[in-house]
Amino acid sequence: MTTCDGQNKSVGESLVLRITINNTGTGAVPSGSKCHIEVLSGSSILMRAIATLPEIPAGGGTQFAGNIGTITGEVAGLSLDVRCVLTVDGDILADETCYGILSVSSAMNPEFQSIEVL
Amino acid sequence: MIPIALDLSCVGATKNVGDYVKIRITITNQTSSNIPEGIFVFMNFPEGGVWATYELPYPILPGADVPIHMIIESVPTEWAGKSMKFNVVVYENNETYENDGAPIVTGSCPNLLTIGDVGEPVPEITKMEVI
Repeated sequence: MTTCDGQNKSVGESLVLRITINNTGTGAVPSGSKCHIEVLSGSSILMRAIATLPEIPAGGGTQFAGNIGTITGEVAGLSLDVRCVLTVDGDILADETCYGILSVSSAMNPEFQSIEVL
Repeated sequence: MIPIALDLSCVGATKNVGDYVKIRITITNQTSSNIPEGIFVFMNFPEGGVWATYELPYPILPGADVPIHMIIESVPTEWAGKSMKFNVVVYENNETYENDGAPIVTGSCPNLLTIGDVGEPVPEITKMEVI
């Protein structure tokens, strides 16, 4: 069960993710295993990043945070998903998605300055 | 040459990867004369690349025991699923050992340490946060 802790962000802000992984098995997750991070809108991948993990001993855990990139105007107004696919030597050992974890506020913010009858 | 016989009694154990292991080697002088100080003991797990040495700081009187401890802080992953042989080599002194001289006596304990198979990792992505 993955806990998803979302935020509202605006265009131009950095998207920083923090991911926590625990190893409940009886063997260590070797160092060099990878978390392939995808930021998704539906089935479209908007941003990608790869985090390389240290060894996670049996019963242990690790937490890492990384800047995935700057939020662009193309995703303004969207609610985005974040997926982490954890691989060890190419094998997928975990695959979780947090749906709607990132809401990007609309770039459009019109204000009426004045209304005049001419 | 000092007349030392190595009468090894091997009491093995099963451990797991990551375990702390203490190996106790007991030297008993079963002769009627002193085993002199300076006797040099080299011990190792030859397949595991782990070794230790001990230099006797005082004579062992007839009938007396001297315990030596060898510590493995954490059993390496590479040992998983193996049975490890333990070797003991006794030299007259450190100089003989350093100069690759002939040992007084050697002995080994096959399968002294049996290491369990490595279990499976089960990573769980427990939390994702936008910060």
